[in-house]
Amino acid sequence: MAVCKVKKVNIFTHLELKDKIIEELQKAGCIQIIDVTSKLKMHGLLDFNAINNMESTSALPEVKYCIDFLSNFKDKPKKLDKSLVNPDKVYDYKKLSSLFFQYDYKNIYKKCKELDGDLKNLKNRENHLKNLQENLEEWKELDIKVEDLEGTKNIKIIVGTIPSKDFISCLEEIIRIGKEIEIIKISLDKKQCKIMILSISEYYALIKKILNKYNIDYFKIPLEFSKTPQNILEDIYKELKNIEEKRGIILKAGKKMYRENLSLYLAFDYLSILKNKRDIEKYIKQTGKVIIIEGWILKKELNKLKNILFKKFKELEIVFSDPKESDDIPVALKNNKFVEPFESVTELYGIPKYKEFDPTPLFAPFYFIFFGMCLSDAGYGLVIAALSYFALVKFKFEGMAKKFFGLFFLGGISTFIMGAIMGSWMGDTLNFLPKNISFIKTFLIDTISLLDPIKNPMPLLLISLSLGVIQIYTGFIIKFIANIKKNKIKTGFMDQGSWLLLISGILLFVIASAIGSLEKYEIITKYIIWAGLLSVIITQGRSNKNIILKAAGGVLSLYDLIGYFSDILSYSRLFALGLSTAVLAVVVNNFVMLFKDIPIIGIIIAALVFIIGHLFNMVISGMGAFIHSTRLQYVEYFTKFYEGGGTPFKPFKVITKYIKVQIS
Amino acid sequence: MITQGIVIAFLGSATAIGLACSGSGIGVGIAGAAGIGVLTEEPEKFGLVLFLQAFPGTQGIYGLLVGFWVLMKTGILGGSPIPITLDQGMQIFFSCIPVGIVGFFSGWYQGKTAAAAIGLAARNPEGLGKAIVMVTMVETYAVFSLLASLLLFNGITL
Repeated sequence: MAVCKVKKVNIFTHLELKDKIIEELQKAGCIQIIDVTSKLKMHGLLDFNAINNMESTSALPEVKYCIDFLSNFKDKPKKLDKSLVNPDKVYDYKKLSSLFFQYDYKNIYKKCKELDGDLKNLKNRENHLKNLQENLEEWKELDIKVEDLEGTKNIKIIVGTIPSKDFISCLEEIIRIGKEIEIIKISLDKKQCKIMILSISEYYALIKKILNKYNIDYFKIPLEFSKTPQNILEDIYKELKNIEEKRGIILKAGKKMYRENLSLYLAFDYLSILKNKRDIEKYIKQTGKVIIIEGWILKKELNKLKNILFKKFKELEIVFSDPKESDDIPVALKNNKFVEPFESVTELYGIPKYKEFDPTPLFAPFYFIFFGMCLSDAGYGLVIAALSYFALVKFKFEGMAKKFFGLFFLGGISTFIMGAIMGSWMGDTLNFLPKNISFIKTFLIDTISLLDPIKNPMPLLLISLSLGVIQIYTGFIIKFIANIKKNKIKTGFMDQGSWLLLISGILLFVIASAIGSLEKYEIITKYIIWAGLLSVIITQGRSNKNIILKAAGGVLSLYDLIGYFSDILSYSRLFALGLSTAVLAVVVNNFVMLFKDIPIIGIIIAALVFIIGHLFNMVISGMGAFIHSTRLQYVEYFTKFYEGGGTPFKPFKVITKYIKVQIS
Repeated sequence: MITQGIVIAFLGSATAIGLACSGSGIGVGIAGAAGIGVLTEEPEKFGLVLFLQAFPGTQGIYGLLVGFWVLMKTGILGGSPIPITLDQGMQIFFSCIPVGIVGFFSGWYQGKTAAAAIGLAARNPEGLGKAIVMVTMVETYAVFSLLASLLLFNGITL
């Protein structure tokens, strides 16, 4: 099926060709190189990794630092600056290195470091000044130069704040010490009192002791200044302004450098490519003169590899071989473009093992229908499909993102179809259309729509459950076929065949008894049920040794029947989620109608409520649709036949983050 | 006209919305606390964490859905309630119970599961797909209760 065939490849060549060959392989991007170092403990194999270009090792983090630093100066692009690098342009691989060497990133790095340092210094100084400012703001009334507060040899000065309620008692205590004390009250409010105390130095310790008792908060003298607090504040204010200016200049310089920054992107990507190349060298076996590159390659790319290598080199030998069972063979999936988006769901669960088959085409149609049923609104479907299509065209995603948007695009289309069938267009919006275009509604509802789950929910519920029956049935049949293919015919018939017989019997019985004209076949279906029951009981206990245990195991396994029926019931979520989208949409429209009649602004509010309400419903229900359709595949469907757990095929190739590179 | 039935219908709608939204609130709260823990170390995982945190929020929406459905069908939302008998009112109330009670507990416990999933997503992003399935297992019962409420309500002749 859609798991790609993989071959093992060994490339033998001279040591001198190593760098060139690795470069060619990276450009070709079709080999996953195997790390053989862990298996190799032989002496005589040299490790050349130690000899590395030290400069480029440090270059990558430096460039990364510049990019991160300069991204702070991102401003809105006025117009595209004609710089060396343009993110939309595709670059030729060959020109990368010349572009890189022509560009002096070291210089930029130095400048960035400088700017960064300056900015940090400014910030520190600013913080310091702001603290001082806050502190001095309270001491504005102090009309003394701060350097004078230091005191002299004989006279000590204490400045501080004490709680106002303690002021009197504190004062009294201090006066009691001696006469040579001068207390000046600088200010007094309800809470705090600012005081200055002059005394001879003998009293200093005593006064301090008392003041400490009253929780004094000393005035911290800013020793770097020598003016009165008022004047210092003015100075600080000036300096802060100055800092702001300096910062402005740095910002400007940063912005200017940011425009040159685009070249950094190129440098980063170029260096990353180099680094990848160096990293992969560790995986390669080498002796004094020969290297052996061992890797995986997709079978369809064998010729591509041969062409590329033999065209450029003569002294090499490529050997292809079939993978061994014991190897951990990497897996790549290949599907047509309708199924491909669904691979994202498979990848989320775990891609198949190499010997397994790819479940993606087997669940894709179910997923398509389920997503539509969960969201089931034609309007939402159109919006989602249009948005994802736009995103796909505009952003040109790769890999997982591309698959996810593809999935949403297909989901949107499915939603549109299901919505049209259920007659839901942004809920019941069609009911509120003006009279003269109501033919649209007549056409969409009466002609196209087949179901109305809001008025009569039962048909939709039955359809959901039937889809469940179909999917679980398919799951059994797939496992049955897989067993037959693997020549486990007995297991296939015993494990899946017996259950298929039993479940078919029950289903046919239900159908026969529900439809009157089929009544005479009812007896046949009963025989099928009995046959099914018997075969399940006989086969399902066979792993036990004892005959009684065998029978008991068989009977016990009938319990699984309950599991299968709960699986089928689980599909009723398709109905519940579909209905909940429809009902929420109707509720939104009801609210819109409440606002409509307010004069003048009513129509604006109504429009806003309409847009926001439906957007909300679309996002929430869309998330539900994605999650629940995924879950039905994982829990109800995959458990019947699928294991997963393979390792993905990751070829060694040119990977860039910022710029696009073309390899010619 | 306000009948006793209408009053009971109010109770039904309030039960559905109130209980289910409380459950979601608790759940989203638990998941959010775990999410913030992850974000302190890896702020770039915000999108992922938000996605997982939103899971227990669905119960509240289901409750809201049933609550509004009741209000609409009984005409309360339009301002002209239809006369509902006491029996009908009781029926409406009972039909609201599944989504309310199940919403409360499943929202709460889904929050715990989502918190664990956030922890896993932080350490091992490859396991995310499987973690989401685990979280959705709790959701299943909320969906079933929504189904039960909708079917019960649909069975009432108004």
